[in-house]
Amino acid sequence: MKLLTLLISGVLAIASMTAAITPQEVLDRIDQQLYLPSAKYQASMEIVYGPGDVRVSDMVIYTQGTDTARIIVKSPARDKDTEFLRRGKSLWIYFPRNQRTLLIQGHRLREGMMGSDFSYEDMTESSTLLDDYSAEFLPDPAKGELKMLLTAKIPDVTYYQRRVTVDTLHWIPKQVDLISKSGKVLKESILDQVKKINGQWIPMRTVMRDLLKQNTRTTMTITSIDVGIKHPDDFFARRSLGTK
Amino acid sequence: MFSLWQIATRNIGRNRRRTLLTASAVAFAVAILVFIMSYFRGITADVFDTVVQLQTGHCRITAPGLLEREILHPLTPSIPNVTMLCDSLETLPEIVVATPRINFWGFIETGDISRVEPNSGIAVDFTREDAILRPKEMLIQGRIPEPDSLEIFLGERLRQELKVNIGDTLWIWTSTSRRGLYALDLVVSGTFRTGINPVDERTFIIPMETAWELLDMDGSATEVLLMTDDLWNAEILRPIVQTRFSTWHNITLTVTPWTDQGGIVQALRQVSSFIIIIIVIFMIIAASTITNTMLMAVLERNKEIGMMKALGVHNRSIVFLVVAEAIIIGLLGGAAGGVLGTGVSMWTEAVGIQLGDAMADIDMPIGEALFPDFRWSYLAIGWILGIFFSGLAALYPAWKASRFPAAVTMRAT
Repeated sequence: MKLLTLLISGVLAIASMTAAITPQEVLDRIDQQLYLPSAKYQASMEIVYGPGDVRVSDMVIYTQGTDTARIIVKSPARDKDTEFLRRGKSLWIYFPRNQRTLLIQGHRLREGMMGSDFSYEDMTESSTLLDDYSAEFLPDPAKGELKMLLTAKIPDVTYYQRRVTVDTLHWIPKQVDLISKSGKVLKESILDQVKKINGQWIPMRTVMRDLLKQNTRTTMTITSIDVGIKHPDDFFARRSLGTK
Repeated sequence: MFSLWQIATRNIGRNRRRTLLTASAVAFAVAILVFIMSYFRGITADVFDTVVQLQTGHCRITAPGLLEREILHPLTPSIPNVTMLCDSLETLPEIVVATPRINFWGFIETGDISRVEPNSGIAVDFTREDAILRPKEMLIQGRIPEPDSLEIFLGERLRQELKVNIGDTLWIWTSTSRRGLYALDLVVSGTFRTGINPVDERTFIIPMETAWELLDMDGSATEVLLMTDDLWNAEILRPIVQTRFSTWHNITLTVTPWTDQGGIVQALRQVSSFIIIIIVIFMIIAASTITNTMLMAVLERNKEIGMMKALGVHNRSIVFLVVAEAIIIGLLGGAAGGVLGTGVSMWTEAVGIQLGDAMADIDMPIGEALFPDFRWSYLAIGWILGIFFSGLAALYPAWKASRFPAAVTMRAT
């Protein structure tokens, strides 16, 4: 009887909590979970280019704020020490073999990083949903979930709409369909592992599928994470590329 | 019959100015015809040679689905283990050479110049290209890149635009077969000239092994070009290759002879139809001149013809007489025109027709100079057509002459 009472009261508590919440508050909670002012990730990216064509890349990702990031590739040998530096709307790729730097801007930022299903923007941007999107609830969520449709309220966002399934236990988007202005679903992202670090639920594994490509899939797994890191002053400067 | 030929021959000299005018029309048409045929064969040979050299070979092997998108220079689907495939193909007696190729886009950057538009890159196995690309013939300065070297062979006009010299380093970045970005520093080993400005301005060539690294395509190529003994016999390769190599590493290979390959061949077929129309127009103009002058001739001779009819000459003999006269004029005019057309064709074949920069902005594989390709058969064809159209053009005047009523014309006398 006690168990039943507890169960009912728990369900009611969650129900009352979600019923009262507004879409903007949900976005705010998600942003609070996902946004890290500065961090260092060790990550592994498994890219399935097609049947039987799989490549795994290991990398270290440094982030600061919403649109500053630096990625250093550790493997495979072909891409070892290749770096990606994102600052604002520009991204530089550093090729260690010839110590050249290539600037990428505009639509090229939406191309797949190293041919993966994650674009350069996906990998290096962590802008807040609340700032970029207005939101509305969608009907028929499963238990412990909320379904939302996010529509861009500012120009220049990467994806005009996002159809998000929110895990209300961790307040993270467990599944996201990324939609173009024409209504076409461009990508599908599934987040299937989270870990609590310093009171925040951090996504540890995300599977991204670019639906415009055939038979591709990229699984991004974060193997370790350090938050609240203080990066050296010039760490995100272009001149620092190639120096570790 | 013999006497009618004699009369026809004699008639030619009766009004020499008119005969000369008529024969000149035939001569002009035949000369144009001979020259156009030579000129068109020259263009066709030039275009075919370039298309075969740069694009199609006599036959091309690709993975399924690549040809439909080839304008985009896709890197997938590709043919794996391509060196072994080429070696195996060259064991077939019908195949003289099999060579791998990759066509791709690459952005070239130098210290000062960064090109916004991508350039067209071709990756080749230089050791197999003597019979197809013929790099030694294209070489202008420097040398051909060594296999497996970080060297690049630049179109001469592209080198000038980039302001680089032999031995300079430039870097190329491109999208790889897995859609990542990759860049390499390459040393300019030499420059080439095809004479086709769009190619010389936009194209660079690199060794296959270098492309494998740049494009992340280890051991693969997007196509294999085949050469056989005879360009016009390329069709036979398709069944032979498809029987022997129905699949390669689980890929069903697509074998396409040059005759089935897209735009240029199709365009040339359309141009050949256009050439035939031009030839027919010239022959009609010449024929109308003949009709006109022969009509004048028979009208002038109506009394004479009436007399002949009164003496019992049949209508068909009158027709024969007039047509025979026209045929003799066609024979003489055609011979003169044939000699003229042959002379002009042979002379321009020797010196070339310089187009200069006129072709610079035209995206056709035609060089800066065109060389007509004269064949003696063109002289024969031109002459025979000249005679035929002359005879044909005289039918109406001949029919008209045969209809003159003998009594009326006699009375008028």
